[in-house]
Amino acid sequence: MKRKSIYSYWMLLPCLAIFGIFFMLPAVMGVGFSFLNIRNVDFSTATFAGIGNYKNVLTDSGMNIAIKNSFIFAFVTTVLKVTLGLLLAVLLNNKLKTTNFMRTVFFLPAVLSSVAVGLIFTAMMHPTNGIINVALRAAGLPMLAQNWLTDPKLAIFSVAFVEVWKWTGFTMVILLAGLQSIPEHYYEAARIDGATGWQKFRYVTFPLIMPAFTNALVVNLIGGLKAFDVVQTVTGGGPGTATEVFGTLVYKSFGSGRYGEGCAASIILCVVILIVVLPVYRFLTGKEVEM
Amino acid sequence: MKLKRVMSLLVTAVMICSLAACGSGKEAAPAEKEEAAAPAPAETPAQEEESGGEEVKTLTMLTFTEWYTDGWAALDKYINENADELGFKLDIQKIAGGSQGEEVVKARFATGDLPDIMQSYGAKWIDTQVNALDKMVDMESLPSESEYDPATMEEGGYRYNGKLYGMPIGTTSLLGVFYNKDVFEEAGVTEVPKDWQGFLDTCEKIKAAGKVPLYYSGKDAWTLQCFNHFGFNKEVFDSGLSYTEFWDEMNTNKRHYADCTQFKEAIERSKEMLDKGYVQETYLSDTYDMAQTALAKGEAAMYINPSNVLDEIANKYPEAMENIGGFALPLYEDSQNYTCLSLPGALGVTTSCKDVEAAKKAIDFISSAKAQQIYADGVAGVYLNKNVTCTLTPALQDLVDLMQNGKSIALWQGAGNNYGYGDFGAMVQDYYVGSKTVDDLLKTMDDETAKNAIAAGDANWNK
Amino acid sequence: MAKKVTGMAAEIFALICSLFMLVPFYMILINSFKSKEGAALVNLSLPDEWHIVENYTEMFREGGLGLAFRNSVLLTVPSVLVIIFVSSLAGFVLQRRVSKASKRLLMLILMGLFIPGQIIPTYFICYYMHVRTFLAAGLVLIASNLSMGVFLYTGYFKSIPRELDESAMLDGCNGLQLFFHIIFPLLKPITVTLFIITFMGIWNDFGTTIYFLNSSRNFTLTLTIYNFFGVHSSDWNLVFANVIAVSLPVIIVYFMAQKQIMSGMTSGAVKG
Repeated sequence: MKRKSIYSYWMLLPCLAIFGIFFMLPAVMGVGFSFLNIRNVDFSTATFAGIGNYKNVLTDSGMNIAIKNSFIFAFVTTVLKVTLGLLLAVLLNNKLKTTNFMRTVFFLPAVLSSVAVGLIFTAMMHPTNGIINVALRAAGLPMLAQNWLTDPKLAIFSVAFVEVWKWTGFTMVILLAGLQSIPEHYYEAARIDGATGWQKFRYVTFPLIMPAFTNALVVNLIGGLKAFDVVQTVTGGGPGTATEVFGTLVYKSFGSGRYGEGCAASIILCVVILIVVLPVYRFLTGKEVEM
Repeated sequence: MKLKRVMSLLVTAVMICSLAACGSGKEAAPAEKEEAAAPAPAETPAQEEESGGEEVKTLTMLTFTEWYTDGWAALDKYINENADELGFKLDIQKIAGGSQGEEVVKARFATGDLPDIMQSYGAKWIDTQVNALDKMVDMESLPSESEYDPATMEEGGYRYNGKLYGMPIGTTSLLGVFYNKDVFEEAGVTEVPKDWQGFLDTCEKIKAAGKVPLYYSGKDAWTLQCFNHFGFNKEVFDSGLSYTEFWDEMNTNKRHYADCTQFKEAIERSKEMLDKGYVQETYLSDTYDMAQTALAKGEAAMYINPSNVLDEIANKYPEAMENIGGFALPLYEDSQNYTCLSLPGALGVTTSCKDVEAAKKAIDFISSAKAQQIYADGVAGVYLNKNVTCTLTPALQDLVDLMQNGKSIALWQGAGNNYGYGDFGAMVQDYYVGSKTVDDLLKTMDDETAKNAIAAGDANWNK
Repeated sequence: MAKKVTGMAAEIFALICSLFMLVPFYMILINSFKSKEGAALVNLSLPDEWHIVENYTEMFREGGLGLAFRNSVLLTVPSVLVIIFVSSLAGFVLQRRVSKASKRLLMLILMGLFIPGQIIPTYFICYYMHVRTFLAAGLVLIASNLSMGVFLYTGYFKSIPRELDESAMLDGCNGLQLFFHIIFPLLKPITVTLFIITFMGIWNDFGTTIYFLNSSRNFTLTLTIYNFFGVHSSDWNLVFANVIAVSLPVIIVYFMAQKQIMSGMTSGAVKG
């Protein structure tokens, strides 16, 4: 009884109101629109389309590539961002001389507008003038110089690299917050028991930052499947459709002027994310310990 | 309990305050318009609507950022400096273009959240791509219209279905091959190629001289369309139909891209350039900007693009302009090569405008020779107003000569097709890297067209 | 001793990595100092002639940056505060309550992480509710970040023991008192994190603001980049200068905020 009065539903009201009107309602409308033929955004001439829009999206010539690329992209970026982010967070949770400097530097890329990121990496990955290949050749490794963004087999990995560059620091920040919540005396106790650095990490740090780790992993997995900004600005899904991902496919659907189809594409993306992420989330939260 | 209520009131108050702080920005903003007139010269306070007794109307206008050229900036400045005399001033809103910007404009058309004056691709675009021709005002007739060629006014859709929905603003763009005269000379090319064989020979000579014969800027995929547009001209001519008749058939599902053999051949020829090594190897990584540098500095001999690229080059490498010439891509016999021209966008009055007469007066002034000349002094080019004069760069002059000899045809994009055919640049990239055939490509264009027609409820495409 | 050495090695290694991270920033900075032709090449070399003052003054003048900065602050700061406030409260209730209803509500809100926001219907709703410009952009951006906020907070509340609530309750606190006096201060690390994430997201937003902030006098700094792209599509020197000017405030905010995380740690706010 008492518990109820403390955690009053009134405190939820502002959240639900704003979220409901300005997010959920439009999203539900989007579901409705996905079953209509809508030219541009002229709703007055809309006609019922049945599942026609969904059929169009699923049979789009870029769909197969988008599925493959999105999963590669999500997997590669999530693994790298979470691993590197965790490493950095653990390292920069110590008070080193350069902690502040490095925390800022690693986070910097997240701050940059994606347009600028696209511009810079396109230039850096240029096969002849780009700094990456120039450096490789100067280092006597010309065989490693690649057509980073135009080789259809390689391009998606290059874009994944840019994504990792941009967002690893961000993952680090989420994990750092988790590390902060671990009470100092746990480490004290571990030290008294004579635990090594690794043991401290394995038996104290990791279990206790599990919630933050879950958050970081899930946010990154969703981000990887939804990826749009970086892909769009670095390759635009090209050359041709070589780096097409779900995000760029949705963008293209909306861009085609067939609004209903755009809605359908975004809903398909949402379903895919749900199917992938929910089991992962369930699995990870099952492993968490509550203090 | 009481404290709880106080707290929750406080919560609400904090929320409302912080939101009101956002909201107040709207009211507070006009006071700072001086700073906002940027990137136009910024010293025009726009808030004094009725200064000095004489009524000066402030008209809002919407345009894409890309269209706010140096010419527009000069004209905007002139208008605002002489507002008392003209009786109006402009408050120009700019929106970043690209597909997202277009989406925003379409959404604003749908809600009717429109400015007084709208700069757009023209009535046909508003009609077929936005379905909102009813939101535009028929200006009936304007005095300045007499300075324009009536046929062009029809052809460009300024007068659309007999109604005057807009007046031209900006320059006519001509599609051509731009070439570096020095590179031609060094390679021993004495004459501009006149037919396909001549073009291949030219490329061969330039390649032998160690330069890039033809530059593709495939990183900016849209530029890859330019080559193939020339093939489409031939398609229209060979059909024996007029331009309008041809597109009527295309727009009613009677004729398809897949049947366009000349167009197909042009696409294949654009790949032949790659296969023969006439295009730089890194063409998929190279951008529109890099193309300008390559052409101006003589690293490449030729580049195909609309003539706007000349403005960009002139901006960065003014001294190179004398050295650059232009011609129509000679895909065919000497007599059958045409340049494609794309007419400027249009300035029209929307139905949201409270004072249509004032807006018409403003557009009339902007279309007049006086105003157009101010614009033209900022951006040299081809203007539809017959009384505007400006010195053209040699390359543009070459293309204008073609146009004046009747060797031009309207670009089909936006002027011909009612329904979009998808992202042609990306399709061509797929073809170049080998993941699609030409036939796949043409079929995709037809499929896209069909999807758009069906979404529009066009009865000619029944599933 | 050996531990110290490995620690040093790790630090040095991380420092070297951080230098690699900086290469693109160096490129942006150095190219913002070049002439038009020089910047068009987008390379690492030092400028032939330095154009620092010209480029930056031209960019500031043409971009209308003073006003844009004000607009960005006006949009971002209140929105971020509302997000923190609203989502921490909601996260608290939803994590602490153990009922079916609360679980479902939490699920509903977390769905926002997956569900794509539909900007066109949002635009129509705002239009017909007569919610315009900053208020509209603010509310929409708040709504689209609430899921993230609730998600992070509910995760974090798990590490704050319930016994704390109960003992406070015994002291006679009610829900909101408990939350603001006892719980909220404990949330500092995650609040700072959320602050950084949402600040950055809203500051850099383009997709939403382009619909609502529809004239140059209410453009945010980020919108000025796009404006610049349109008008100065070949003036990369100015574009890069603009990128620097737009990113700098966020970098400063982050730098200050992350120091807060550090102090949150040393004060040992959380007692197990």
